[in-house]
Amino acid sequence: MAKDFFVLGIGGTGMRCLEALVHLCAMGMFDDTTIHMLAVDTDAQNGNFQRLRQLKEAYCNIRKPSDPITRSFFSAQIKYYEYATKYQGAINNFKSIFGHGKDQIASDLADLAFTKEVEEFPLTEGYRARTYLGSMMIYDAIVKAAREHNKPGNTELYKFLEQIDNHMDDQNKPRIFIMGSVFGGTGASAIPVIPQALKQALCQAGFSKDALGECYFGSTLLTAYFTFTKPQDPSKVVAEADKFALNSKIAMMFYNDDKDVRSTYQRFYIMGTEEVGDWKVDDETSVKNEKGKQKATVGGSTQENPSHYIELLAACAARDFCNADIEKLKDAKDRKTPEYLYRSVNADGVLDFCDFVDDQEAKDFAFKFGALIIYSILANKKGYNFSYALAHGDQGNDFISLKGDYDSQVTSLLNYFALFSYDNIGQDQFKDGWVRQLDHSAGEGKFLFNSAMFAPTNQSNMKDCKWNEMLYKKDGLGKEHKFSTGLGFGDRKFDTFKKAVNSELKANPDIIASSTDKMSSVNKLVFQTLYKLYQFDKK
Amino acid sequence: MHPITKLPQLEALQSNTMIYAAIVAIVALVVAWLVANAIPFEGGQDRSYVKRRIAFIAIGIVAVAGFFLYNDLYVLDSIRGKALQSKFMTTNFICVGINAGVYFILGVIIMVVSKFSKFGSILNRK
Repeated sequence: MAKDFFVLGIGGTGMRCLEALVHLCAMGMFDDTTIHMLAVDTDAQNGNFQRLRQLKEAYCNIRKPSDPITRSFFSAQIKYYEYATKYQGAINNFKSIFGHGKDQIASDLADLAFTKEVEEFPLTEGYRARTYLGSMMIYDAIVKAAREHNKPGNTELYKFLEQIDNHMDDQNKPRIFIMGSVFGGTGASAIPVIPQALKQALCQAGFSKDALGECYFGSTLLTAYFTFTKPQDPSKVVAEADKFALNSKIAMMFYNDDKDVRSTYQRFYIMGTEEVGDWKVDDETSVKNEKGKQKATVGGSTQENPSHYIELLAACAARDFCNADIEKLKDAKDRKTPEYLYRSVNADGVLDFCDFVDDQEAKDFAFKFGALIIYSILANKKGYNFSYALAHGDQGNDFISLKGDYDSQVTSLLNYFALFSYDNIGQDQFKDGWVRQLDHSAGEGKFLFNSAMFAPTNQSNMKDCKWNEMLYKKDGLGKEHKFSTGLGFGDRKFDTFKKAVNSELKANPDIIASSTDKMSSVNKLVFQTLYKLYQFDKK
Repeated sequence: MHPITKLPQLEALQSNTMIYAAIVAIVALVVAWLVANAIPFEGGQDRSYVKRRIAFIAIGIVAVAGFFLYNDLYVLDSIRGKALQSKFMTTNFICVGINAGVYFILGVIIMVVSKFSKFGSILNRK
C-alpha cells in the first residue's frame, strides 16, 4: 500500500540532506511512497536552496504526476513545498521584528539575554550559529506564516500543514522527519522547536488536530562534519567553524536533557565524523566550483557548499524512520523517551553499503545506487546520450522513440543527471555533481564505489572508463557484478547495453507501448536491463 | 590449373566462373554482415552507420576487384589461344556485374528487410 512520508529540511545542511533524499528517491529506494518535502530556510537565495529547487524541478518533471511506482528509478512521488522566512527591508533583525523599545520591560529582558550585535545583525542570511536567538525566531516565523497563510510565500507551508492534517486520520499516523545540523544556525535553531511549531502552526492555520499527539517525529542529530575559513563581516556576528564541535557537544547535552525535546521526538539518528577539520568546504569549492575560488560566505547565493556522504547517511536515516516498526515508535511516544540510533564505520574510514542501510538491504542498495550512476553515464547529453535516442528514435535503428510530448521529460532527465553525476561545462570539462562530491568527501578509495569511476574529467576520459567492469570495488559487496562487452571494435559498452535493452524489450513488448507515462516505463526498462546486465538476478 | 585448349572446356569454365562470382558475392556479404556487427553503436547522434557503410562498400570493392584480378592474372594464363582468352575476358567482365550486382542488390534488400539490425543501419533509414 502506498504511503505518505513528511520530511523537513532546515537550513543549508538541511537543504543538502534533502538533495540526498531526492537522489535516494531517484535510485528507487522509496518505492511506493509519496514524500512531502518541506524546505525551510531564512534565506531564499541561498545557493544550496537554489540547487535543491533545480533538482526537484528536474525530478518532478521526469515522471508524470501519478501513483508511486515500484522497482524502478524515480519511483517515489515527491511533493515539494518551501518556506523562507521574510526578513526583508527595515524589518530584518531581532529588534525590528519584536518591536524593541515599545515595551520597556520586555526590551530590558531582551537586552539581558542578547548582546547589542546579536539584536541588530540582519537575519536575511540566517541565524549565524546563534541558536538561542534562532529557535525563538524560527518558531515565531512559522506560527505567524501559518496564521497569515493567505499571504504570498506562506501558501506552500499551509499546503504542507494541510497534508499533515489530512493524513492524521489514516491508520498509519503521519511520520515527520526533520533534517538539519545541530551545530550551525537555522537547522540547529529549528530542530528542538519544530514539533511544537508545527502543532501551533496547525492550530493557527485552522486545523483542529494535535500534531504532537497524532504524529511521530524523528530527526537527525548531525554533528559538525565540515569547516570553513572564518568569513569577514562588518556586523561581527558570523558563524565560526572552529566553534562547531563545541556547538555540537552542547546541542547533544541539550537534546538529552530537555524534557520537551524528549517528549516530542520518538527517534534521533546521531551522526558525525571523527575529525571536523577533514572537510573544508571552501577548499572543495575552490577546486571544484566553476566560479573559481570561492571564499566562505555567511549566506546568500554564493553559499553553495559541496555535498558530503554524511548527508546521504541522513537521507538513509529518514528512510529508516519511514519504515520503522510502528510499535517501537508508539512505545517511545508513550514513554516520552526517544530512541537514539547510531552506527560506526570501519576504523580505516572505508565506507560500505551496509553502513547506510540494513545488512539485508545492502545488496539492493548497491545495485540501485550503482545502476543510477551507470544510467547517468548512458544518458549524459555529451556522452552516449541514450536520452537523445529516446527523444529522436535515432541510433540508425528503430529503437525506443519518445518523440513529441516527451521532449521535456527527456530534457529533465538530462538536467537531473547533470546535477547527480557530472555536467559538461566549457571546453569539454566536467563539473562535479552530487555523487562525485560524495566521493571526494569520503577521500580517495573510501567511498562505496571504485574511485576510478569518478576520475574522468572530460568526455574523452569517460569513453575510456571501463564502467562495465569497475563500477564496484574489487573487494566487498558488488565485486562480482560486472559485464563483458564481447568481441568487436572500439568502445562496445553502450552497444552491449543497447543490445540488452532490446532483448528486455522483446521479453516485455508492452512495457512502453501500454504505458501512459512512457518516460517512467523507459526508466523501468533501463532499471530492469541493468539489473540483469550487472547480474544481480543471479544468486 | 589444367590448360584450357578447347571451346567446350572454356564454356564449362565460363559457367563455373559465373557461379563462383555469385558465391564470392555471397561470401563477401557474410563478411560485411560480420564486420557491421563488430562495429558498435556509439550512442548520442550516432554516426556509427557511416563506419558500417564504408566497410560495406570497401568489402564489396575488394570482393569484385579481387575476383576480377584472380581471373585476369591467374585463370587467364591457363587459357591457350587469343580467341578463347578474349571470350573469357568477356565472361570476366560479366562476372564483375554479377559479383557487384549480387553483393550490392542483395545487400540492400537485406538492409531493408532487417532495418533493425546493425547491417540494416547502413542505410540510415529513420
